[in-house]
Amino acid sequence: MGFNQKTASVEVRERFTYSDDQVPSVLQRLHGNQGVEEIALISTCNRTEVYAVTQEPSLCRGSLLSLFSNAENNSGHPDFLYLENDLQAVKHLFEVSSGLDSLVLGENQILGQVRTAFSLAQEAKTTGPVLEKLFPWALRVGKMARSQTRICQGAASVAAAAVELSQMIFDDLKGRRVLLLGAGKMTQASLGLLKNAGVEQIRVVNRTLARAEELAARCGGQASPFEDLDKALADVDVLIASTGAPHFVVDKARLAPVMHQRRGRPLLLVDIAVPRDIEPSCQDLDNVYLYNIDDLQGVVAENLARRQKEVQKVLQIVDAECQEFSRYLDSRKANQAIRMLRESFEEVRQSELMKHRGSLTHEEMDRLESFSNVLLNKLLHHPMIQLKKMSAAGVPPEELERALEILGIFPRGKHE
Amino acid sequence: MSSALLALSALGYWASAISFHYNLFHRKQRDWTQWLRILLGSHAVHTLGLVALTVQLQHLPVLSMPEVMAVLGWALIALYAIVGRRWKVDALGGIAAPAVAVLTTFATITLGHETPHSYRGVWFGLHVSSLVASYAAFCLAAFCSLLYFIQSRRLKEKKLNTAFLLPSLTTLDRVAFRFIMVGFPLLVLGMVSGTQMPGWHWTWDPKETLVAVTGGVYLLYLHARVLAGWQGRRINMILLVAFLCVLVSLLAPGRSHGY
Repeated sequence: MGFNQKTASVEVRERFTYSDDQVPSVLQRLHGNQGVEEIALISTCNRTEVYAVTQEPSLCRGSLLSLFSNAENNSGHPDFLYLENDLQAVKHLFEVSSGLDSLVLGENQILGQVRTAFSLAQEAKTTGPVLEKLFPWALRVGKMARSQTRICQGAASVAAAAVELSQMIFDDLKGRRVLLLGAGKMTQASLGLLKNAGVEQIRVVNRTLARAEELAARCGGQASPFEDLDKALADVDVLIASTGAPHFVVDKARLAPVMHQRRGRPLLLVDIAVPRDIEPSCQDLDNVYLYNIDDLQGVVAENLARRQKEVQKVLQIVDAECQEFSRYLDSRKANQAIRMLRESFEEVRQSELMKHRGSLTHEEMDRLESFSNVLLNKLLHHPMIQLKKMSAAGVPPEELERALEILGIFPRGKHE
Repeated sequence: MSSALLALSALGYWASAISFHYNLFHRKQRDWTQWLRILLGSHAVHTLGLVALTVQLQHLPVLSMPEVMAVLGWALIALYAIVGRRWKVDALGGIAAPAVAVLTTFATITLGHETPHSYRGVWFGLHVSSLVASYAAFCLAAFCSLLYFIQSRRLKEKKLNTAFLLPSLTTLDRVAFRFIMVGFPLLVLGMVSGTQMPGWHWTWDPKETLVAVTGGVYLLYLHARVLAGWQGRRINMILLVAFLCVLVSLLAPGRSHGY
């Protein structure tokens, strides 16, 4: 049960988002409720979903609903919530871990978030045999989707596209120097990615030195006055420009002597400003590679379209794994049936043995115990094999239970 | 026997070249496994072919143009197999495989029509083998430069779909330099060992003069790259010019040379 960015507005999402510190206590509170056997909670900025295992769905549903109720709406089923049961819930989790349900199709972050949700549930001791199997399975499906299809390939944001581009020129950004021209929001957005990519030095040049210094301090970079732009251009490998200037800040006449100083070292210019900061004819200079915001957005759109084409392949993986998981659940139920059969007969054996405990000697009791044990094993051998065969052949667990009913054995929750 | 093996390896090289280009440009995948297997399999057959040829001729197969072409192709793939993956330039095989396919096909067709020569001796062996090895390194360096221009053009034209399939510009630039660092000392060794052969003296032999010019152009490249710190398109252009000199010197007639 839960909501995501498609069903709930940001106002709703922020109300029911739980931090990693809060999750264990929330899980323990819900786990104490009647009907909730196992429970885990995925809470990210785009979704809050709770996965529960129960034998009593109506009781469990009520408990889970309490998680999403508030002063304004404390009864009924809010519109933004969706509820999936049995295999549909399994399929949903597999789709989530594959990135099919994410805002950016195929994004990788969700895999880590599913892993965290599982760890928090384990930490809160609210998992059991089903969730212990389901979550690692979902993580495996997520990895399969990403390795066997191209669902996560290609940059999905302008900043990531800029980093991807730089890899075609410089292999990677480790040890490279980047110049940020302007201290606008777009420049700041790319900072995190640049740091992650291992950039050695970030220089910031801005008309207002104070703003450059502020941004440089935030990213551990170095601020330079605007007059040093040419010097900085001769030194760096990548320039990301996003000033608010209404005219070109870097033109061909300015860049040509800089390129001569660089002695053929390639220079990647990323112009994400509108109006543009870099004169388009700079591209004509040798060893200059210029990309503007449209180019980068084109790369992103192309990548996302390519990811969209992979959805069917991922769905095939999800469906196949769902079937596999369903078979696992059935085999688990078959094992339960076998255990019940064995326990029930063992109970009869023990009660019959008890009747003779006072009247027979120790030696006779031992012989009787061993005889009854062998008899029980021989009698149960064929039915147990048959139950396993039926389960492997895909006979639904309900039919297995019905077969047991003939012997007077009733599963939990059912009565004679 | 040797001709059959060389013909088989030529077929294999063609198949690997086709498989490479099919994977890269049709399926748009950097999946090198299949074509690399075919390439290495063909190289093994090529090795057997050269061994059979050596046994058949009773000398190293380096006395005629077809023999040298067969050995050059073999050395080129051997060098590529050793460093291609390590230096992250697998894509180089896209040019190396068809180039070697052409060399071995030529060698297979023309082998046996050459006139025998009587060169023997350690200096001769050293002279020819180091020159062939240096030419193999120069070939791979030139292929790197060629890929540099292709990649640079794709990036300029913003054809990123295919650009991401090729190595980065700095990788290509760096690897080309490494190949020259391997090839240049071998070229010098080849030239020096040639001068040690009995009866040699400088006679402005066209082939020898062109090899000296080739060495000069590579020296110019090394000077610009190492001492002046140049990179990029211009320096790769020098490499292509130098390779043109290699080709001309290889094909030029020499008064004291068999080919």
